Formats: sequence, structure tokens, C-alpha cells
Amino acid sequence: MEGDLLLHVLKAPGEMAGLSEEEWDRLLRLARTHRLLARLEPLARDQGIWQELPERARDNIRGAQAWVDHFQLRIRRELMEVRKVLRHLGVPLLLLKGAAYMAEGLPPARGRSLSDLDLLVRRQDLPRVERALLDAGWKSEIEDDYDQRYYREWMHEIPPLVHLLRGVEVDIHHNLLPRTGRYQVPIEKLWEAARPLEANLSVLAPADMLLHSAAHLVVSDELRGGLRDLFDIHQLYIHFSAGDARFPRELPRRARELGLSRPLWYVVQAAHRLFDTPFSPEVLDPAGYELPGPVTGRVMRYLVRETLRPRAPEAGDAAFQRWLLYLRSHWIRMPPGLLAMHLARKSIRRLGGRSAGVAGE
Amino acid sequence: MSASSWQAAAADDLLWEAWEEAFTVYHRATGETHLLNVLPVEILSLLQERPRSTEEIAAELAARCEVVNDGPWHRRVADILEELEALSLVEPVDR
Amino acid sequence: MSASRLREAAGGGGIALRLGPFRVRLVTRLPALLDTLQRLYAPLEAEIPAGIHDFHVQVNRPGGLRGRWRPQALFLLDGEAPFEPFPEDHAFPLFEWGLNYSIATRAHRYCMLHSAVLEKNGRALILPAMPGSGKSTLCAALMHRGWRLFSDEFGLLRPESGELLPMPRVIPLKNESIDVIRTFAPEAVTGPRFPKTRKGDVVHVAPTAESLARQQEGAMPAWIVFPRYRPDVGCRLRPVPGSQAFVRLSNNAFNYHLLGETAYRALTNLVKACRSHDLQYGDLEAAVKTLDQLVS
Repeated sequence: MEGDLLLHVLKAPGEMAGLSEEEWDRLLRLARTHRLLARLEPLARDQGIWQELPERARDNIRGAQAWVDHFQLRIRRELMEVRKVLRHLGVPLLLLKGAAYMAEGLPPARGRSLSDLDLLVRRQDLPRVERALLDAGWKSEIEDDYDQRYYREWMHEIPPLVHLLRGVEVDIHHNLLPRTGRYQVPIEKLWEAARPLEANLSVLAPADMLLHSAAHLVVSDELRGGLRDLFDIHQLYIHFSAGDARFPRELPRRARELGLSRPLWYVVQAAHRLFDTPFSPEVLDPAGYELPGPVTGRVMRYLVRETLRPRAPEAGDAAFQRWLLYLRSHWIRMPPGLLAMHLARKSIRRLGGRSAGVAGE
Repeated sequence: MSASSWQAAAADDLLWEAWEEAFTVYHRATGETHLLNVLPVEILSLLQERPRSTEEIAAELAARCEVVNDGPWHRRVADILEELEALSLVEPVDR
Repeated sequence: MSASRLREAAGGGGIALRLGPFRVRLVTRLPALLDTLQRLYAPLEAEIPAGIHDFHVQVNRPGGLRGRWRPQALFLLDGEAPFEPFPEDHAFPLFEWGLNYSIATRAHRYCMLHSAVLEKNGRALILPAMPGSGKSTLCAALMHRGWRLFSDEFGLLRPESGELLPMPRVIPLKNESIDVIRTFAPEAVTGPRFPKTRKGDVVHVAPTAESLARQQEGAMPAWIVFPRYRPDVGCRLRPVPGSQAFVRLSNNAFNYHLLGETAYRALTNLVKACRSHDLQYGDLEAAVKTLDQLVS
């Protein structure tokens, strides 16, 4: 299959050295479509083969890398500005996703683009934090009253804030997943395990970081970036298990404890299948998970796999599976009545030509 | 501003370039480029030695530039500091 | 490639075209677009696609109901349409505009100046595009007085070496500039007139044969000239301080902000290696003469 070339290279980056120019032509397009183009440089450098790659391929990858560097700088700067404003409040902040990978220098940070700054604060600190940022020049992205209410009542974050001059979206979360969803993450446990970086700044513990990425991938609205996120998980697993022999056993245990067995299981299946991630037997053993019945599990596995498998730019996407998974993620997120209402509202808005303001990444 | 004292952005983050009449600086932490004339550059280089208050800066620069350290001069220095703060090139610190 | 072979290839697996350092694969079933390309880039060096292409482009009629009333052409970059379709008889400007878009959004391996660049005696002249500069007119005029065209739109700068790279494309002229150049250089090869574009009537001037033939040959920059068209002035050249030239040039680059430190260093080196001038001109002949004197 066309997309297998990308998987092949992500699994075994050393193979880049032996690709024909025609294969490079396909690989560059596939990697670009899946937001993985800039990742190829660090992967090739780790193998010591960067200089051997065709110059035209390197030029394209460097072009993508320039974007990534720019966006990473924007995020670092935004964090600096946010911390300046919040310094006097003394509120603990926890970095999530890309910002955490960057702060810790984790493998997925290299060549990973990110457009938003994702922060976690305790629920009781939320009003003070929001007030301080609004007073300092940030503005709410969402003006529509319905969407404001939707966020505040049902989401795990406040409506995104954007600074008027810099335009970077700051997403302030108080939990990892929506309040009403099926998966209820006991957030205080994550705070307890968090690893401090500096005063009032921390990141999730390794297992929690991987679990958050897994949960986010399974319940998010947009699966277009799914392969990228799955590759993050692949790299995180390899990195954390190399640094701590107890990590593979800890991961499914912690997933049970946080009620995130299912997303972890789905993601492990997908990564195992697509990237041959070297999971230890205890990670692959279903007995270590709290899982739903076999049918749901099989359907979900199929959806995840088929939706994430890379496709050629012109081949279109697995629209139907994506749609089902979309419904699924909303079902997980909201009570059924509310789901119907929100979906109706979204279709109406879409007819009106405006994009809907639902929580994206 | 009533900050007790000011400190400059980290020296490693600033890439300076001298032109005939002015200076440019690229600030790695913000990704911004600034065009500065001599006075703000002098202020920044003083602050890179150690943090100083507005009063100290005004006095030292007045001596160096051979001007009277009066009210208008002090206001001029304070204004420049405020502009530099807006550019994230200096920030207030508590001493 | 014969015209019929070209059509067949372009409508099937596509044709590969060179744009200076870039390679483009174009798939199109619009013969008029191919005819214009053959006329303005003669001899058109189209190849059967092989190896790596920087841009995979399609220019075709959109599917579905669109364009049923009036034929349209849609530009696709890697299967995605970055902008609305144009009327089909504007497929050529659409293609050129689409390429500019593709390069500006992706080619960040280079520092991209929004400038015309020309070369003489192995050294390059940069003419930054400022509103009301008359840059394209001046650029077309210089090209027909012995200067080699690098680009009318993109100054491609290799940050690590400071070298400028050619990417010779057609020069779009608007309204009254069309007749100015036809009078100034009657030998200029021009394309069809495209009436009522967003910028008024547009006619494209072909790059000279030499510019096309030597498009793999870069040059080091030596002069930055900020042109400004002023009908009341004959021709006036004035030096510009380096810091000012730096600020103007960085504000005018497509990706200065995006490249950050890389662009800061590259443009600092560029400006320090060049002499910078303001040029006010109303008389094209006098302007060309002044620039020739400047570089001799």
C-alpha cells in the first residue's frame, strides 16, 4: 500500500539511506500530509545518514523544519509571557503535550510542530488565571454565547485565549478529558505524580504523559493528525522504557488506576500494528487491562487502525470511519441528549459557512 | 514604573550588529529584531553588567554623556526603560 | 517534446518543469496553458517526471457543479486547492500565481526576498518590491539591456553561502507598463493579454533565452537599489545607510520572521556586502543607464 512507505521509514529510519529518488518523491508528500516531514531530519541524523540523503529531499525537509522551529519559538515565548503575568499569583502550572515534550527535550519534540500552548491548572485556580490573562491582553477566541456555555459546562478547558499581538492560542485545561465523559480522570493523582521543572512549573510523570497522549488521540475530534500523535506515543514508549525498566509494568497499572485502560489498549494495538513498537509482553497482555466486550473492542481497533493508516495526498481519507469515530468520541464525551443537540447545532453552523468552535487539539 | 530595579535579557540571547549610526539586535527568546540607537544600547549594556535602578542608570549615563542629571533626563531614561520592557529586552526585578 | 506529445504527457502522468532550484510536476488537460508555457518559456524543457519534485501541481477544470456555467480552472498543490478557481482562460496566470504561492509557503530552506534580482558581470542587483516602485517595469527593461533575469518576484538567498539563486519566470506587466516596455524593447516576447484581473490588464514578458539557459547559475549580491517611480523626476540615485537598508529589506522578505535568527544573520551579511541606494526615476532609459554606470 502507498502509505506503507512512510510507516516503513518511521519504523526503521536507517532505511532512508537506501531509498530511490522516486521513493523519496512519494515519501516527502506522505510525510508532509501527515505533519511528519520535519521529523525526518532528526531521525536521519540519529542514524548518521542525513548528509547522504538526496539534496532535494533535504531541502524540503529543512523547509518544514524552519516552520517547526518558528512555531516552537512562538510557544516558548508565549509560555514566557504567560508565566510573567501569572508570576505574582503563585499558581502551579503544568505543561501538556508538545510544550511538555519541548521543556523536557523528549524525542517527539524534535521536528514536531505545535500551534497551541496547552496548560493544566487546578480547577480552583482557573478563574484567577483567566482573569489575569484577560487583563493582560489575551482575548477569548470564542464569542458565540452557545459555544462559551458549551465549553464552560462540558469541557475540560476554558475557551481558548489568544494574545492580541502574538496570535498564539493558549488552551487552559483543568482536566485531561471533558467533564461529562465516560472516562473520568482523577486529576489530583496526576498532580501528585507530576515532576517539577521549576517553581510552579511541572510536567506529567512519564506514564501519565503517555496516557494523556493516548486518551487525547482516541477522543479527539480531528484524526488527521492521528498518525503524528501515534508516532509521539511510539517514541515516548521507547524513550521511557529505556530510561526505567519498571515503566512497561507501570504503564497498564497506571492506566487502570486512572480509568484509561481502553484508550491505552487501542493505542497500543495501533502502534504495535503500524510501527512495530517494541512493547514488553506485559503491555501487550489484555489481562492487564479493564476492557469492554470483545465486539466493541474489535470495532474500535479496526477504526483506529484504518483511520490512522497513512494515505497518499490525493487518495482522500477514510471519511466514513472518521465519521464513526467522531460520533464515538462525542458519545464518550457527552450525555446522549446533549450530543444530539450539539451535533444539530454544528451541522446548522456548518451550512452557514462558519467552522464550528468545538475543542480541537 | 515603580520597579526597584531592572535586569537585561540574557546576553546569550542577544545577537548584536553595529551599523554606522544605529544597532540591530535579534532576540532569540522572542524571535524579534529591534533597531536601537545609542542611548538604549548604553542602558542595556549597563544592565548586562548587573541589575540597576532607574536612578542609578540615569546618574551613570548622565556622567558618561556629560549631561545634567535633571528631571527631564530622568524621565527620558525611564521612558526608554519602559519601551525596552515592552520589547522584553529588560524586566523589573526585586532586589 | 512535440506539442501533441506534451499534451499527452501533461494530461497523463504529468510533465516535469524546472524553476531554478525547484522541480515541478504539472498535470493539466488545458491545452491553452501548455501553448502559453511553450511560447513564454521557449524552448520549454519539459521532461517525463522522474525523481524528486518539490511541488506536485494540477491545473484543471474543477469537478462537480462548479464551472458549469462558465469554464473554470482550479490549482491544486498536492491535491489541495489553496484558493478559489479562476476563469479557465486565466489558467496561465493562475499557474504562475499558484507556483509563487507554493514557493512562498514551503521553500523556507531559502531566505526569500520579495524583490526582483538581476545579474551582470557575475554580480547580482536586488530591486526590492515596494508599493509604487515600478519594479517589474524596471526589471523587464534591464533584462532587455544585457542583464540576466534571476526573478521578478523572488530573491532566493542561500543563507549559508550568501548566494542568490535564479528562478526566471515571466514578468507580469500591468496596464500602462505594457506599452512602455513594448516601446522600450520591441523585441520582447509577450504572452496574451489577460483583461480585468484583480490588478487590471496583465501581459507577461518572457524571460530572455540567456536567463533561461543559465538558470542553474547563481551569483553573489553586490547592490541593493530601492526603486521608486516618480513621473516628475528624471533619475536620481542616493546612498541609503546600511541599517535602513537592512530594516527595509527584512520587512520586505517573505519569510524573515519565520526564519528568525537564520534570516537575521543572512540579511545582515547581505546588506554589509552590498552598496545600497534609493533610485527615483521617471525616465526608464536614464534609470537603466544610471544602473549600468553604478555597476561598471
